[in-house]
This record gives sequence, structure tokens and C-alpha cells, in this order.
Amino acid sequence: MYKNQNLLNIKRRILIVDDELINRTILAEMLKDTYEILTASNGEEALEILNKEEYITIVILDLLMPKVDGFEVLKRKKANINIKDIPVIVSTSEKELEVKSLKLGASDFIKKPYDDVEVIKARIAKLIDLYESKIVVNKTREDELTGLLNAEAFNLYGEGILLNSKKHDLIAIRLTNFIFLHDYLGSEKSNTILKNIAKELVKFANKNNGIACRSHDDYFYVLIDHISNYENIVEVLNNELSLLHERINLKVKIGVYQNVDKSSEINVLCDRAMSAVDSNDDQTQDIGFYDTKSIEQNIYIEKLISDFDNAIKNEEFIIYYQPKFNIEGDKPKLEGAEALVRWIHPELGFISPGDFIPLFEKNGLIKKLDTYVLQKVCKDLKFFKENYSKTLQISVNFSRNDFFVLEIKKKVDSILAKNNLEHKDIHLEVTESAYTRDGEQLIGILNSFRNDNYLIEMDDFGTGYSTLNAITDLPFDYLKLDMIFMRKFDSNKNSRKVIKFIINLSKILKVKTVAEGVETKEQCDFLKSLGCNLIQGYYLSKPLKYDDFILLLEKES
Amino acid sequence: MTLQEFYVLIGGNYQEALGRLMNEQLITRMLVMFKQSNSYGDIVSGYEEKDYKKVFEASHSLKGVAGNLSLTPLFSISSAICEKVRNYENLEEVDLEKEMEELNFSYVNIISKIDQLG
Repeated sequence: MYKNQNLLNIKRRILIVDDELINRTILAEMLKDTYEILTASNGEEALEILNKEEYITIVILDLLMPKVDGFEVLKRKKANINIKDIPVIVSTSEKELEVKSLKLGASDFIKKPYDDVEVIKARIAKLIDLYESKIVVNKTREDELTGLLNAEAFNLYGEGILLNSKKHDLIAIRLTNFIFLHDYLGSEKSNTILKNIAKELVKFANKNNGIACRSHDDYFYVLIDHISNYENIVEVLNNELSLLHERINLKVKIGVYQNVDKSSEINVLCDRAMSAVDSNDDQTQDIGFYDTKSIEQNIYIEKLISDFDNAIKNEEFIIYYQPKFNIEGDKPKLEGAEALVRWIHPELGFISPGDFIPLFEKNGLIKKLDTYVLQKVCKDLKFFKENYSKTLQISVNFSRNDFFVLEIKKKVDSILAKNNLEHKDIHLEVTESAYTRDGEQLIGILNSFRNDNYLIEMDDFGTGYSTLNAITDLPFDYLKLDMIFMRKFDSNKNSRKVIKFIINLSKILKVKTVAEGVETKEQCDFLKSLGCNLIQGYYLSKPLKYDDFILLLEKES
Repeated sequence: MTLQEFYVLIGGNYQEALGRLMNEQLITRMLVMFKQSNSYGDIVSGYEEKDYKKVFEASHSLKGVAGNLSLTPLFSISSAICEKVRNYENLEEVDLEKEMEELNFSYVNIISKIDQLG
């Protein structure tokens, strides 16, 4: 039962409301060792604090105050769903006002002049107990199997604990191979293991002024005062486990998030601690620590996600055109470009696509971004074709997520049609890893595009896991040689062999080759000698903004 | 003057104050704070202006503070005044001369001795 745990050690918050500074101070001095004290000198201020501050356990309220008096506070509190359940102790010397305040929702009284400090403390403690028991009745707070708190109760009490000004650690505990053991040992034995772990965790939590919970399976969490040594608890738990099952190699692994960020919610802290457990997947160490540097990273990520819609609205995503040159003839000839997206954030400035593309791929925002890019590119391309080059083709990156949007082809068709473009004007760039991940389903969708005269470029070729066999079945028209091979061009002789192999492969497959990241004349000459069709990279041009790309088009035409 | 002597001289209850406020430092701190309180002045001006609501609120306040500091005579007289004007809404004129005299005496007695606390 959770009562085994040191919940009494958690400092509850009390709001003292009295217009007399001396009364407020005396009461605060009486209670400050046991409770965290907030004060208000009038009813208005009290309501403000109640609405603003969280986790106020009890209000001690003077009744006769100028302007907004105690009765008015009770009335307004009763009408406000967010604060109506916070119990109020009225402090008054007026016996006859007690009934009126009870009717308005007061729970108890302390008289003025104040009684002895112990009397007041006992009344407050009793009321808190009643109030919290009521919550306990309302919600089941206990993990049935182990008697620890369940996740909801852990969150509730944990938030109270974090209000304390001390430093706190959150620890996540799991067992190695628990699922396997559960099947192997049967549920009765594995439940015994969980119960014994729970027993030790309660002791550990109590010793360090904290609380423990089991959220599910073998997921345990403990929130305690900050400590520096975690070896002991791991040893204790492992000893416990070895006593239970000598022949089985059953161990705990723990993730520790030290000096937790108190502005985050408890479940976020739990996730962070658990991620430290998972960072130890090789099981070479029993304890993993959450890297606090990644907090900043998380805040950054959250900001990028929350700013995304505004970025689309305010056109912060800018298209750069990376020119592609055909090198089959005597002189390189501009044939098209790859559209690249850059984010110029109003506060953060230039954000690398490496920061936001993988992030948006993960959470699905990429679909919206890719559509935005396609619309912009089609509009630009219409202008380029009408004024400069009728044969210009632009390739646009498509995430694998895009292809699982309902009627994606119809959507792309309609964007092109709106800009009077032919299907072959836009190349769809799809990464090699997308092909390998989604296999047949993706191939089917790409075939439908290809059968309707769209051209497909396989991006980043050479970095995925395609086998030679599989690649012959994939639908694509261009093979893009990943720039990683160009980077190793000078340092790694094998790299030239790989380039040669890939270009030969594309000839066999009857597709064209595009080499990315070409930076020197030597690289360009080498690629040309092998029969590579197109190159892009700083040797001939860096990625260009719209205006600069137009200058290039003018020069080329 | 010690705090205990102070309470004897003003007719207050030292033990009760100590039981409530737990230590002498806090009692002394509160007594010094008490000197800044406006309640006494508000009772006097309220009475002069026949503003009995003001007299009620101020005497109620003074009663609370004096009670908590165990300043017994001041607690008694402010309670008496408070009761006399409790129905301030229906009062036209109240004679508080005797009470005011007693209040003045108690208040000045206490304030002057707070200054002498060591």
C-alpha cells in the first residue's frame, strides 16, 4: 500500500490569507517547518494566487478583510471548477460566522487568538489527510500487484515533491530480459520477482524522502532527493534477484536523471530516465545517466515543431536550387536543378535541414512541408520555363511518408496542372532507404507515377542496403551517387572503384547517373571519363537562391 | 527591560505569547511590527468622524493582533469596542468615551514600553 511510503515527508503548500501582517507572520512562522507557505494580504490577491499557483493543499482564510472579504473568496472559489476542491480553514474570532462559512464551503476553523501551535498543526494535518483520502477513494492510486503507487498517483505526488526547493533525481528501473523470463518462469514466479523489487524500492525511496511506482510490466520509477551513489541500490536489487533465482542471470538496469528539470512534467522526466536505461542496451553497465545536455536539444526540437505552422504561413522555408549540369558534351550544360529547402527562422536564424528534415519525417510534418515545397517549385518552374529554358527539369525530394497520403498522385498531378507543367518536368527524388523500408507498397505507388511519365530519381544511392538483385526490380530513371563517395575521392582509393561500379551498374540498368557533391575538376573529369551523365556540386555551382538561379539561367540561355 | 518584565508591566500574558509564538525573538519582532499597525489610529479617527464601520473593522483587526500577541488589556478593550459598534449599519451615535480613554491608556502604555525592550 502506498501508505508505506513517506508521503508525509512531502511538504504541502498552504496559502495564508489575512489582512494583518502580524497574524500572517505568526501563522507562517508556526507552520513553515512543516509546510511551504504562501501568503496573501487580501481576498483578491488570494484568488489570484489560487488561480495561478498549483498544488495548494489548504487555504487558511481570514473572514473580515477590507474590499474582497473571506466570504467573497469562498463564494468565488466555489464557483471556479479549478480551485473549488481546495479545502479552506477559516480563521476567525467570530463564532457566529462559522455556520455561514460552512455553507459557503469552509471545511474547518481555527480560532483567533491562535491556539497552541500543535493544535493548529493537528487540525491542518487531519484536514489534509481527509482531503487526500478522498482523492484516493476517487481514484485508485495503487499498483495492484506490488502495492507501489501507480503512474497517476506517482505523477500527482511527484509534482508535490518537486515543489520542494531541494534537488531531486528520477530513477527508472527495469529488469534485463524480463519478457523472456516471464514466459520462461511463468507469471507466478515473475510476479514474485516484481514484488521483491518493489519492496526494496520502497525502502530505498523512504530512505531518500521519495516515492516509488510501477507503471506496467517491469517498468519501475523512483523519485528521491538527489544522491550521488547509485551502486548500492543496484547491488541490493541484484542481490535480491540472485537469491530468488540463482541459476538465472537476472539483473536490473537503471537509468538515472539527476537534478531533474523541475519545469517539466513528471512523465517527461520518467521518459528521460527510461531513455538512460535504454542507452545501456548492450548491458555492459548497470547504470545509465541521462545526459542533461539533451534537455536543451529537446527544447530546441519542441520549438522547431511548435514554430512549424507559422514558418509555413510566413514563408520562412526558402527554396534553393542546386543546379545540375549535363557533362556528356564538351562543355557542361545546365539541364535542371534539385530543389533544396532551407529554414530561415526569425529568432534562430539559419536552421540546417539536417536538424528539421529528420525531425519532421519522424512526426509526419514532412508531408505538409513537401507539399509546400512542391507548390513553390512548380510556380517557380512555370516562370523559368516561360522566360528562360523550356527543357528545364527540377527534382523535388519526396519523403517516404508522402507516398502514403491518400491519392498522393492526384494531388501532385493537380499541383503540376495548375502551373501548366508536364509530368516529366518534375523529378521525384526518393531515398534508397525508403525503397528498402517499404518495399512493394512503395514500388506500386512509384510505378503509378512512372507509368504516367513522371521521372524518378533514386537519391543517396550507395548508403542504403539494396542488394544488387533487388535493385533491378526498382522503378527509377536516375541514380544519384551519394556525395559521400566524392568526399572520400582523394583519401580512399576504393571510393573510385565504387563510383566506377555504380556508374557501370546504372548503364546496365539503363538509367542515368547523377553525381552529387562534385567539388573539383579532377572529380568532374573522372566522372566524365566513366560516362556519368550529370553532376551537381560546388565545382560548377553552389545551391542558388531564386534570384541567383535566374541569373544563371540568363547566362546559360 | 526583558520581555517577561514587559508583559508584567503591561498586564499581558508572557507564557501564552511564548506558547503561541514559540520564541522570544519572534515575539519581539512582532511587537516592533505592531508599532507600525494602523488599527489604533483608525479607531480614533473613525470615532471622531462617527464612521462606525471604520471603528468596527479597525477594532476587529486590533483585537486579532492584540490577542495573538497576548497583549491582554488591549485585547479586552478592542473587543469591547468591536462589540459596541458591531451593528454599525444601524448606529447613529455611540458613546465610546470611557472605552476610548482605556484604549488610549493601554495603547500608549504598550507602545512606550516596546521602545524600552532590550
